[in-house]
Amino acid sequence: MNWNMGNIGRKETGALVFSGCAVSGIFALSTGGFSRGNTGYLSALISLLLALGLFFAAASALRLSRQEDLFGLLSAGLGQTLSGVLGTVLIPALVIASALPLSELFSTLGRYIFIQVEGEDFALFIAPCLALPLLWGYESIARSARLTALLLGLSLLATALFSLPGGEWQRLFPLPWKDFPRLLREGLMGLSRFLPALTAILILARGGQNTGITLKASFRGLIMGGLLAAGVLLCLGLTYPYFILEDMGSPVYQMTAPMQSGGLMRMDKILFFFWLGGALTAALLYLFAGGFLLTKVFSLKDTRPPCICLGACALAIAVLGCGNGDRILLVKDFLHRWLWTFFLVPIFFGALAAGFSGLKGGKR
Amino acid sequence: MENFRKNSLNRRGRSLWAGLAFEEKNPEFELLETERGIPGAHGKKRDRVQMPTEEKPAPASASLRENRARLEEQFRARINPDYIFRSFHLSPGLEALAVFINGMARSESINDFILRPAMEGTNQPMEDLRPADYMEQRVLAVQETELTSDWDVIVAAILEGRTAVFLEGDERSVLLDTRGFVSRTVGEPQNETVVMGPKEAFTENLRNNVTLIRRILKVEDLVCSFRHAGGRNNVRLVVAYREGVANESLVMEVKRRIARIDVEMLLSTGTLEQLTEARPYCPLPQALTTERPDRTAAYLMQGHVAVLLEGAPFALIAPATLFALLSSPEDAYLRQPIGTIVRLVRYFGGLLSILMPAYFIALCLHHQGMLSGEVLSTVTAARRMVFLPLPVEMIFMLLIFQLVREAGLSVPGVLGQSVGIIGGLIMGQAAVSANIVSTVVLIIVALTGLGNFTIHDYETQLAASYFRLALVLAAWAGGLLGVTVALFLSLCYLGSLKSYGVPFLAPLSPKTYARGPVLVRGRVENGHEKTDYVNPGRRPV
Repeated sequence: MNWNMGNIGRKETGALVFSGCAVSGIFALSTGGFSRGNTGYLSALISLLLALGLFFAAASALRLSRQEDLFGLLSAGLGQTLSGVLGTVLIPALVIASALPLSELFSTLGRYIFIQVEGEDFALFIAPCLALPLLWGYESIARSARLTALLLGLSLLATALFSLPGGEWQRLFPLPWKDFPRLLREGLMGLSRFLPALTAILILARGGQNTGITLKASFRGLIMGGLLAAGVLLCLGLTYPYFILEDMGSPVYQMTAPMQSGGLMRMDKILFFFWLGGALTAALLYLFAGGFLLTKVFSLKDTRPPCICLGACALAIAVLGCGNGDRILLVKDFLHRWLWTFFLVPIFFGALAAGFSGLKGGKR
Repeated sequence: MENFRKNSLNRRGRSLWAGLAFEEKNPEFELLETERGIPGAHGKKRDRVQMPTEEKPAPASASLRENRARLEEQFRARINPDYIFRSFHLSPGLEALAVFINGMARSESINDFILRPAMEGTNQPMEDLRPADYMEQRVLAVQETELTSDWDVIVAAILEGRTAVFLEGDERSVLLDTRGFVSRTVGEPQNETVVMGPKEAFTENLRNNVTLIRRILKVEDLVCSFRHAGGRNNVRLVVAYREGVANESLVMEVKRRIARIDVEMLLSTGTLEQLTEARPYCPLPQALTTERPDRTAAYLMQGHVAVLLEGAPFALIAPATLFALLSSPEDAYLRQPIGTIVRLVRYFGGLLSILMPAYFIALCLHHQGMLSGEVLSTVTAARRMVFLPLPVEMIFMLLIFQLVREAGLSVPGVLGQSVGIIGGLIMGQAAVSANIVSTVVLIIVALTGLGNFTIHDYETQLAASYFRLALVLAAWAGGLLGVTVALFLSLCYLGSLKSYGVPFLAPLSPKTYARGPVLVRGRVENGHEKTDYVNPGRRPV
C-alpha cells in the first residue's frame, strides 16, 4: 500500500485548514447572500459556529471510537457497505468544493487580468499545479501550505484593510435581523464554506502526528480561516451595497481598486496570485482527501491514480463553471443550496454511529 | 489462446503499472518517524543495486616465498619498480620481508624504525611469542601497527602508503603506519571566505582534515569512523559524528548509503554526494558541502554527520536544509543585529536573483498596466533598436552571464577576474552599442548576477540558475500566472524533498520545537540547545 501520506506537523495542518476555510469562505461565494440585504458576513459567522459544533461532534466521535480518521469512524460505526456509500457521496462533493474557488478565480483572471482569455487556457497552466503535488503526496502539499497560507492570509488582510477607508456603514443596511430564519438558512447553506476543509482533514487525520494534535491544529485553522472570511465579507459589505453586490462579478477582486493605481504600486494583481496560490493549496487538500477516500472505499493500492483522476475532474468542473449559461447558473444555485448536505450527512452519521457504539461499549 | 492473450494483457498491464511505479512502496527514509528502508525516489534503479559483495581472496600464507610471489604478481612488480620488496633477517635468524611503495611511504621511518631495530637486533628473547607478535611487541618502534592475515587489508594498506612486514612461519603480517606522501599545507578557504572567522580550510589529506576538526572539537564523543568508500580506487573516507548526540538512525542511514556505493572510481565529494542522495535529478544539493573545518565542527556539535573523503578538500554535511544552504559561516561570528541584516540581505539577494528576470518579462509582455508610464517609456526607448524579442534577449543575457562566470572560474587567479571585467564591462557596453541587448535588460541581468552571488553555497547558486530560467520561460508563456504556477510547483517540490530523512524546508515547515528564529539570526545565549530537526539522540538536561 502506498498512502503517500508522510508525517504532517500541527502548523501544516492548521495552515491547510486555514487555507481551505478562507478560500472556500471567500471565493466559493454565491450572490444568494446579497439579495434583500447583505447577510454574507453574518451568515459566515453562523456557518463558522455550526461548523465548530459539527467539528467537535466528529472529534468526540473519533476519540470515543478510538479511530484514526473519518472513514475508520464510519466503517466502525456503520459497517463496510454503508460507510462505502457515504464515502462515495463525499468524493464528488470534495471535487466540487475544490473546483468552485478555482472557477471563481478563473473568471476573475478572464475578466481583469488576461482579458478575453478562456478558462481552458488557464486550466492548461493550473493542471501541473494539481497533478504534480498530488503525485508528490500529502506531505508536499502540507509543507508548501505553510507558506501559501501565510501569503493568502496577509494578502486577504491587506485587501480588507485597504478597502476600509472607502467603506461606509450605511451600506450594510438593511440589516438582516428582522428576517432571522433567512439568516439561519444562509448560515446553514454556508456550511459548504467550512465543512470541506474539516472533512478533508478528518479523512486525512492519520497523516498528522496523532489525531489529537491534528484536531487541535484544525480547530485553530478553522477559527482563523472562518474569522478572516467573515472579516473580508464584512469589508465587502462596507465597500458595496447589496444591490450592487448581487450582480457583481469577482467582488473581492474589485475591492482591490484602491491598489490599482498610485502609491500602492499596482499590487492588485500580485495579491490575486497570492489568492490563487491559496486556492490551489485548498484544492489540493480536498482532492488528496478525495483520492485517499476513494483508495480506501475501493481498497486500491495507491492514492496517486485516483488523485490524478479527481484532479482532472475538478479542473474540468472549474473550466465549465466559468461560463454564465443558464444551466450553469442553475447548477451553481443548486450547489449553493445543497452542497453542505453532502458533507454534513457522513459526519453526522459517523458521529451518531460512534456515539451509539461508544454507549454500547460502555454498557458492556 | 484466450488464456495466453489474457496473460499477456495482464503482463503488459502490470508492467505499465510498475513502470509508473504506482505499485511500489514509497521507500523514503523518514528521520522524523522511523527508519523504513533504502532511500528511493528517482533512484529506483539504484535501489535495485545490492550491497556490493566480492569473493574474499585466500588469506596470507605462512610461507614468505609464497606471499612474495603473490604480491609481485598482483602489483605487477616486474614492470612496476616503485613497489619495494625488501628482504632482511631478524636477529634471532628469522627471515622477513618489508613491502611498501616508494614515495608513498616515508623512507626515514622504514630505515630508522623498521629495518634498523630489526637488523641490529634486540636482546629480548622470543620465548613463546609467534614471529609477528615478537616483531610487533619487541622490535618495531612504530606507533601504529596492525596484525592481520586478511589479504585485502594487506594490499589496501600497502596501496595507501603503509608498510607490510611478512615473517617466515607466520601467516599474519605486521602493518605499520609509514605514510609520508606529499600533501598541501593547510591554506585559506577559496570559496567560503569570511572577514571575522578562522582562516583555515580542509586539504586533500584525510588525516589532516580529521585533525583540523578534532583540534576544534575537543569532545570525547566525537567519532571519526574510517572506512573504504566503495570505489575501485580504494579511496578512504571518514564518517564523523558525535556518538549519543547525532541521531542513531541518521548515522546508520549515512553509513548504509555509503556502503551501497560500488563504482569504478570515487574522486570527489561531488560524486560521493550524488551517489548517496535520494533525488539525483534535483538541482538542489541534498548535503551541504563546506571547505571550512569550523563550519563542519559547528554542525557536528549540533548533531549532524560529516563525511570527509580522501583527496577532497571538502566535508559533506548531512542532513542539509534550504536554510543551511543559504546560511554563511560568517553569520555566527557577527553581532546579532548585523548578522540579521546581512542574512536578510542575502535572502533578498537570492529572491531577487531568482524572481527579477521573470517578473520583468511578465510585466513587460503581459501586464504592461502594472508599469508606470515612465518605466514603460524607458523600457520601450531602450529596446527600440534591439532586434531580439525581450524573452530571447533575457535568456541570451543570462546565458552570457553564465558564460562569463564559467570563464572566470576556469581561468586561474587574477586573469579570471580580468575575464569577468572584460566580459561584464566591455562586452556589455559593446552589446548595447551594437543594439544586441538593451540597457534595461543588462541592468536586470547584472542585478540578478549580484543577487546570485549573495547565495553562499556554490551548488545552490547553480541550482538557482535552473529555477531562474524555468521562471523566465514560465513568465514568457503565461505572465504572472506562469510565474505563480512555476513558483507554486517549486515550493511543492521543495516541500517534497528530504535530505537524509529531514524535510528540506525544516525548521520552517515543519516547524520544530526550537524557539530560535529561523529566518533571522538569533541572539547568542548561554545554553546547550541543538538544532532539533536532526532529532539529537541526547539532549542536555
